[in-house]
Amino acid sequence: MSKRTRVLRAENERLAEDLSKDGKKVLDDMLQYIRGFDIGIYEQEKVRCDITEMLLDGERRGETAAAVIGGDYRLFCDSVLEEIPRLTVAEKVMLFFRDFCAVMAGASLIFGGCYWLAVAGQGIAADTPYVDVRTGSLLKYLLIVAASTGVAGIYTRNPYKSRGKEYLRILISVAVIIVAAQGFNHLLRQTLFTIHIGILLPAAVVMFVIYKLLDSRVG
Amino acid sequence: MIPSQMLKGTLEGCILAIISKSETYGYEISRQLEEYGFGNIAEGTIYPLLLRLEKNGMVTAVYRQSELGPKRKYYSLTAKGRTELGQFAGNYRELSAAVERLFYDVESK
Repeated sequence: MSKRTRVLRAENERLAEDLSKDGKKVLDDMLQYIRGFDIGIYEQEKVRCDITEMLLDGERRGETAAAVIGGDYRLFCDSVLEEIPRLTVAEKVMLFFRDFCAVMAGASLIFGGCYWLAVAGQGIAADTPYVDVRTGSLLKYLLIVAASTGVAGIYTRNPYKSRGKEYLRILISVAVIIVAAQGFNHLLRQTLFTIHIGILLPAAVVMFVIYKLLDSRVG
Repeated sequence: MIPSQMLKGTLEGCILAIISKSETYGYEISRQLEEYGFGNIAEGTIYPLLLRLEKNGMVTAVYRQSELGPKRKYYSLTAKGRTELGQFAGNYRELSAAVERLFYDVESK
C-alpha cells in the first residue's frame, strides 16, 4: 500500500487502542463490513479514522457506540458507503493482478528454493530439469486468487448475520474451488511454455517487485 | 418528535445553515439541531450527509486537534455551499407557505 495509507493506518491503529472493548467490537464489525465492498484502502482508512474519532469523542462524553452511531450499524455503514467512490474497473484489475503476482511469487519461491537447496545439498549436475507450465496449472492459480477474493468477500460482508450459515457457505465454496482447481490441473494438460527451473527464484523476485509496485499504486 | 421521513430532504439544508454560522464539527451540529427542536439526531445520521456535502463541494473539512482527546474534523461552507443554502432556503419557504395556506384553508372549514 502507499505510504500515506500506511501512515494513516498506523495512526488509526494507535487511536483504536484508546477505545473501550465494546467500542472496538462495534468498530471492527463496521470495518469488516465496509471492507467487503469495492472501495480503495485509503478511502477505507479515512472512514475508519472518522468513525474511530466519533466513537472516542462519544466515549469521553459518556455515550455508548449505539448512541453515537444510531442503533442500526449496518444502515449507518450502507449510508457511508453510498458516499464513497468505488474502485474503477482498472483498479480492480490491478488489484487482482497484484494478488496473482503475490501468489506466483510465493509458489516460485517455494519450488525454486527447494530446487536450489537440492542442487546445493546433492550436487545435482548442471543439465538441470525443465518444468512445463501447463494451462491447467496456470488456471489453478488464477482460480485460487479469484476464489480467495470471493471467499473473503462472503466473510467480510456479513458481520451482522449469524456466523453458522456463512461458515457453511465458505466451506462449500472452498471445497468446490479445490475440486475445480484440481480438475483444471488434471484435464488441461496443454503446455503453454517450458521454463528452466533455476529461473523460478529470479522470477519470484520479479513477481514480488511487480506486486509491491502495484500495491503502492492501488493502496 | 419529527418523523425521519419528514426530515429527509431538509436535513442537509439545515446542516448547511448551521455550518454557515461558523466552522463546526459533527457532534456540535447534532447538538445544535436538537437545540433548534429537531429532536435527537445521532452523529451517525449526520456523518454520511457531511460526506455527501463534502463530496459535492458544498463544504470543506480540516482536521484540528481538540482540547482533550482525538482530532476533530471541522467543516466550513464553500461558495457553492452558500449558493445551495440560498436555494434551499427559498425552496423551503415556498413549500412552507404552501403547506400553511393548505392547512389554514382545511382548518378554517
